Parts: sequence; structure tokens; C-alpha cells
Amino acid sequence: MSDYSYKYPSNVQLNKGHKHTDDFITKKYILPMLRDPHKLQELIDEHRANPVGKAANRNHGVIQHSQDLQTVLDKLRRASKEGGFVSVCLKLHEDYRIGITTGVRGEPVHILEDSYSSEEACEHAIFLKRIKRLLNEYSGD
Amino acid sequence: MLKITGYSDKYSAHPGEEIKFYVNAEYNDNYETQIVRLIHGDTNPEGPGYKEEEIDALCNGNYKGKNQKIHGGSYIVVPQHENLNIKSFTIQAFIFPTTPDKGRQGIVTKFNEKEKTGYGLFIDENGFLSLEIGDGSQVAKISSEKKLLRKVWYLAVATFDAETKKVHLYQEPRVTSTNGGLGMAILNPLEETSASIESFSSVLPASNDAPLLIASSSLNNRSGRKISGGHYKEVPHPIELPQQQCCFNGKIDRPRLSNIALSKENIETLASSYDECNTTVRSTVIGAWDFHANIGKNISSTKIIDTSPNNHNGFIINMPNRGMTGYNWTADEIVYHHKPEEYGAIHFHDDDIDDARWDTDFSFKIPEGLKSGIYAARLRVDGREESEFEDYIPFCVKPPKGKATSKILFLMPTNSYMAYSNDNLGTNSVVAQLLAGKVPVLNPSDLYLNEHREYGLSTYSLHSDGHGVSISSRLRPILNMRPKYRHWLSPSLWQLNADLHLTDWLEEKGFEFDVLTDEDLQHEGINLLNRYKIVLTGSHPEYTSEKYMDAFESYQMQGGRVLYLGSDGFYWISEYHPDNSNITEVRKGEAGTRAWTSNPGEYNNAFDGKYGGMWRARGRIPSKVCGLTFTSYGFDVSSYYKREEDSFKPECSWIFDGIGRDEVIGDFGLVGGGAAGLELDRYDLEFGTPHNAYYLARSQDHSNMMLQVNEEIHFAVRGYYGGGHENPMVRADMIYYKTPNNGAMFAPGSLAWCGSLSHNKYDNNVSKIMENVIKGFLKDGPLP
Repeated sequence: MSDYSYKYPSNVQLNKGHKHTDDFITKKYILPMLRDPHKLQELIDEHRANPVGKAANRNHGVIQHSQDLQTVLDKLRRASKEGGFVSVCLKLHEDYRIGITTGVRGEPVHILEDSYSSEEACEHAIFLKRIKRLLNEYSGD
Repeated sequence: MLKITGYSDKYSAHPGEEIKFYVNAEYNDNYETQIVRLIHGDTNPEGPGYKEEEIDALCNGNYKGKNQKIHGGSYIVVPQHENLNIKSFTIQAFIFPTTPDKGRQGIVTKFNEKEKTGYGLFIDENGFLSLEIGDGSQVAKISSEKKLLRKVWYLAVATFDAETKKVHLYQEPRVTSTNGGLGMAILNPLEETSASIESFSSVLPASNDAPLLIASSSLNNRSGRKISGGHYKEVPHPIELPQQQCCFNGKIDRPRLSNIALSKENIETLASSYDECNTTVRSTVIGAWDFHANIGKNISSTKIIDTSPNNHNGFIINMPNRGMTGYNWTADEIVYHHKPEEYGAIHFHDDDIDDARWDTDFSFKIPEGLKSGIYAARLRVDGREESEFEDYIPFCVKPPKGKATSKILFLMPTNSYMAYSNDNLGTNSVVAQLLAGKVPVLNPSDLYLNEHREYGLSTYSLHSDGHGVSISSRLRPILNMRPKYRHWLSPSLWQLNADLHLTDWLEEKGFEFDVLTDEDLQHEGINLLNRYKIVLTGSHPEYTSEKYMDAFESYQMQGGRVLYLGSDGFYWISEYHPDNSNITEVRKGEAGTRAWTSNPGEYNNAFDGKYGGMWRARGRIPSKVCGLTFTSYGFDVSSYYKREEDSFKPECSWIFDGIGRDEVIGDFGLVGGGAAGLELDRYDLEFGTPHNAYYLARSQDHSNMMLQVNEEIHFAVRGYYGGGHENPMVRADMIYYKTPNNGAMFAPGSLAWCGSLSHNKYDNNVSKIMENVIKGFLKDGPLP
């Protein structure tokens, strides 16, 4: 994909097929989980306890996300880089911030003020923001 | 934002040789240089921590810093000549714009922006073809008023008659069923993007001192930077470059310049070939550049041939792609040197870079007797250690020329370091976090690269027009090849910094070793390896040249003993520029676990003319070279190994001395928490693993993020090609085999392996296995 969109794009140039199919998937499989307060809390708790996963070792097998959480994460992670999330490490192993990308090459990453002490804590904070944003985006549907 | 960045003129040097360093002090701060030996680059508090040793050197000290910029973006320079300062003209070219809406872009220009002098054919800020004529006080602009479309070939022409003041602009799509590659073949209505505009310009082009540029325009006529030697060996006398702007994205084929306003009929004839024109037309031609004119067995040359008798030859700057399908590509041949006349295009990008061309700031002469190893020039502003205030420029100190000072060689996979240079995927690519299984974690240097696109990209990146990046130069700061650097793709480290896990462990265990680079092997071949009893690869020797493969195979056959300590090795065909080994190329073919795919008909390397992409396509799948082939990848968490039956055989049990029968091996480490992770290799008899290889151990319990490589997926079906919970192909195989003349190969099959070596103060079962293998391999005579 080019960084430069056509100025008077047709719907195929706007890739509406992808957008509308993603909307359908989101409404059918993602939103029902996020709109159920009990389920949502369950997903948030699971993610907080284990934002990335844990390697298998002699005491336990590999710890990875439940199918439901993975489905939600896949949706959140395939989002556009316009308004996209990154973690920014300002001090190794000590200071992690949330960064917002514009999706346009060369434009600065906007770094938010809140500091997190680990990658995992920052990852979870981003997860919470993404869920909030997704629910807002579809609030009219 | 970063205060300091730098690079060197070479990656490795023998004692007595000199390395030059080029430094950009972003805000003109003074800085301190200190040469250091890099010992351990991982800052993780759970490991041994960061380690370096300061080295006495004459170049250590304080320097006055100055800002140095990179003039990125590729183009062709044709040096200024009075023949090019013309009043009437025809400018013509076939163009294939890939970002017509990006803003103003030069196609063929002899134009100076500041002086408002000269003439140029441009794409304007509306995405229209346009002619600009400047007389020194004003600029006349005549536009086609029709939008150019992405990935469509056009004949683009502007004529101007200084007597009649008449301008004619032609914007004619030339679409065939094949010439657009993956672009449109059905273009309807043609009128929407076609134009034939007649107009007048009372502004006459003023003569100027600007060079003629193809694919950009001059901001300043001279930059003080020159080309000569190396990949510019065909430059007769050093040529001073302009400072360019308005870089064009896309292809250009057969540009021409004449000194009268030609008729349309003559334009058409000249468009295909100067030789087909009658003598009258020929006499008007100032330059007729055929980019395919010097295609031989390859098209590594930077020279651009003017086929007219005027010899206004030019040179490509910043390494755009040559050997690209032209406006007339029929697909009858898919190799450029089989039908050069259909490969007359060059693909230019506004983020190409071959050399930063900075002034030298200091140099370091390697002292006689300095131990071979991995070193760096450490640069610090205000004496501060924080990542925004310091940069490291790594390099390798080789043993004295032609000698080995140890029995063990660590072969630094510098070609692979270059392939990953400055990838920018954390900010560019949606796939980044899907691969990593987490949000990309960026360092200050990543933020700097994001805002400084002139620093160029990696072969994992797409150019700003979506075209895959196939060329990487190390003559620029490569900010993700640094000690302390943590890579977004890994739970922690990647490439150079990860390879310090290995060299640190060697040092802790008291193994003496020399260090040489891929580039050294390219120049010296098998003789270089044959000086050593044991060769250790890095964690990810993924990109290899043909000479590397030849030497690596020969070494094993001649009795060499190898520890291949990574995964996804010997995978991509990657060739050096024949005249400058600081620059490499990889075409990513049609298959492979890859960031992009070569466009139709553009599979062969420009640098050596041979088929590019995966080694397996040229009959040299990795398993034939090291017994293993890349099988799966997942970057969230790693896992552990368990022993297999062969490990108990007398021929192999020495490798496991001190390791229990059912012991869990490597369930710890600084890379994803286990020794088996990131990328994994398996044996495969169908793919040439030696039939009597010993199968020592196998990893298991990988997550579902760990998926099988796509080049082996013919049908993407559930239940077979899934992740670690359902796919037996998702595993790391640890193997050992013997080769003739008492040679051998040991390969644990995991990219994360070396990250486990330092666990528990270097006392652990991964470390023990490694120690057993190296001690065993150091012994003379037959192996057990």
C-alpha cells in the first residue's frame, strides 16, 4: 500500500471491501464479548495477569491467551497505523510510555505522559485504551 | 530526540589498518569518543548486565560536533554541460508513477528551484504532468490538468519552441496486458487520464549551472559531495553532486532531450530508439538515455549511457533498482539479461540511499596486538549514558592478515545485520505487532528513524511507494545494530546485540576466539575458514552470498567443524555489489517467509544477474548446508528441549555429559524465557539433511503464535498448518552429523539458543552442552 492515497478515490480505491468485512466480523464476534460487562471484565483480568504470555518450563506448560482473548487481540492488532499504538521505552527497564502513530511516514510519534515501569504494564494500558476506543467507534451500531 | 549518530567506512579491519568514522551531532553538540570492546550488550537486569571494556586509543577524546545530513532519494545525475542549456526543447520519457499524488516530483529537469532558472518535466502537486520553465525571475507552469494514475505506463512529453513560444504537453497512457506488472490492464475511460495540451509560454528558460537530473530536481546545484571509485569506478573524474529535491517514485524508461520542438511522429520514433531516427532528428538530440544499454550478465553498473553521439552519460545516485521491466515488457522473458530491451526501466524511490557521504570526523588505526573481537566507537554527548545521548558504531578487529590467533572463529553475520537495518516496521507496519504478539516497543533511535526517512530502510521494509526494499547499504548509521538495543520483533534482542550473548559466554568460559565478518569471507573464501578448527555462526545468519555458501560447504567437506547456533540460516540469496561490498541486494522472489514479493519479471539480482530469492530455488536449501531448514516462527515466548534417543548413543553421549536422561533443557533464558524460540529449524530428509545425522533433542510446548513457515504451505488448512498446539512441524531439532576428514556439524535449531547461555551465572544445561561440543570439537583426530 502506498502512503499516498488518491485524492478523489473510488470505493475500490478506498478498499471498502476490507473495511466492511472487518466491520461485520467485529460486530458478530468481538462486540458481543466487549458489551457483556462480565465477559469484558474476564478478558481484562486475563490480560492484566498475562499481557504477552509465559514460556513453558519444568513447572508449567506454555501459558497463552484464551481463544476469546486472542480473538479480541487479533482484531485490535490488525488496526491501521493511523492513530495506532506503540510502546516507547524512554529508559531501559524503567520507563515505558504509550505512543500514538499517525500512519504517515515521517510524522512524529505522539508520546503520552503516563509512565509505566514495565513493557507488560504499558501493554496492558494500551489494551484498555484500545477496547475503549473500539467500543466508542461502534457506539452508534 | 537523538543527539548523535554515526557510521564507519568499514565493518572490519586488521591490526595496522585504519577505520574512518563519520558523525552527525544533531544539534552541533560536542561529543566524546571512546573505543570500547563490546562484551555483553543485554541490559536485562535478570542477566549478567551490560559489559564493555574501554580501550586506549589515540582517537579517544573530545570532538567538536557538527550536524551532517543525508541527501536521500535516488536519481540520475548528468553533469552540467552548456549543450544542456537550450531554449527550445523536447523532453520525453516513459514513466510509471507509483505515488502520483505525493506532491511535486521531477522527471527530467535542468532546473534550479532557488534561482527559478531552466526547464523541467514534473508531476505537479495535483498529480498532473507539468512543464516548468524559469527565466530567473518567474516560472511558467503548464499542466496536463489530468491526473496520472498509479502503476500505469505513460508516454510523457513536453515540447517548447522558443520562437513561437508554443508549448505542447502529451500525457498518453501506454497500457498492455503485461507491462504494468501487477497494475491495471483495463484502463477505462482513457480520456480521464490522457491529455494533449497546446499552450504558450512567454517565459524562456534561462541558462543555469544545474546538472540535468532524472527523477528529481536541483535545490542547490552543488552540494560539496562527490562520487568516484567503488561502485562509481566508471566515473572518469569525481563528479560533484547537487542537493536534490522533489524525488520521483516509480519507473522511468528511455528519457530523451532534443533541442527543438519535435513533431509527434518524431517523438514516437525517438521514444523507442535513437538509432531508428532519421539524420535530421538525430541532429537535434542532446541526449537519448537507454538504461538497458549496459545490461550485460548483470546490471550492477551505476553508469547511464547516452546513446547519442554527445556522450552526456550519467550516473545513478543512491542505488535505485535497475533491471526493472520497461514500458514494453511482454513477459516473454522474465530474466532481464535475456531481453535487455524490455528491461529499460529504473525504479526510483524517494527513500533510497547508497552512502550518507558525510565528512570524516576521526579515524582509528587498529594497534598491532589488539585482540580480535567486536569493538565499537562509543560517542557520548555531555558524558551521558542515556540512549538519546550516546551512539555506538560497532566494528570487528580481525586477527593479523592471513593468520589465525585462535582455534575458534566467530563469523559475524554482517550481511544479515545489514538486511535488518533501520527497518522502521514498528511505526510503518500493521504486521509488526501481529508477528511480535505485542505492541511494538520502540527506542529513541526508532523514533528518530521514523522522522528521518533519509536514513533509509531494511530489506524487511517497503519503500514509501509500496515497492519492496531490495538494496541495503551500511554506509549510513544503522541504529538498530547497536549494543543495548532491544528489538521490537524479539522479546528482547536480535542480531548483533543477541550475538554478544555468545561471545560473552565464550569469554566467560575461557575459550579464545577470533572474529571475522561475512564480508571477509566474501573476499577471502574458503582459505579464511580453513585457518580454524571450529567455526561458530551467529544466531541468525539468514542472508548469504554464493561465495559464502561455497566456502561454508567446502569447509565442512575438508574437515571443518561447525556450530550453527541459530535458525533460519542460509535462507536468502544475498549478493554484494561487485565493486563495493558495503552494499548488498536481495530480491525476495515468489516464495519464502518474507516481507514483500518481487514484482513480475523482476526476480534476478542486479548485482550478479542470477535468480534472487530463496536459496532453495537454486538447489541449495539450508538443510543441505547445515542439516536443518527453517520450519516455524513466533516471537512471543520461547520453550525448552527434551533429549531424543540418539543422544544416548556412544557417538553422541559426550555432548550430554553432565545432563540427566529426562532433564528439561533450556527452560530459561534472556530471549523469551527459553532456549527454543523466535525462529526454529527442523531436519528434513526430503530436503537434503544428511541421512545419518544424529537426532539429539527436540523442543516442545510452543504457543500457538509459533506457526509453520509459509513457503511450505500449499493449502492453508486448519489442523495441519496451525501453531504449536496442533502442528508437529513446530519444533526445534537439535542435530549433529559428521563430515569427511573428521569434520562435523552441531546445530540446535533455535534462534533463541544463545540467550540461555548466561543463566545461573553461566552454569546451566545449555551452557554445558555448548561447552561439551566445543571441547570435543577442539580435540584432534576422529570424533567418537
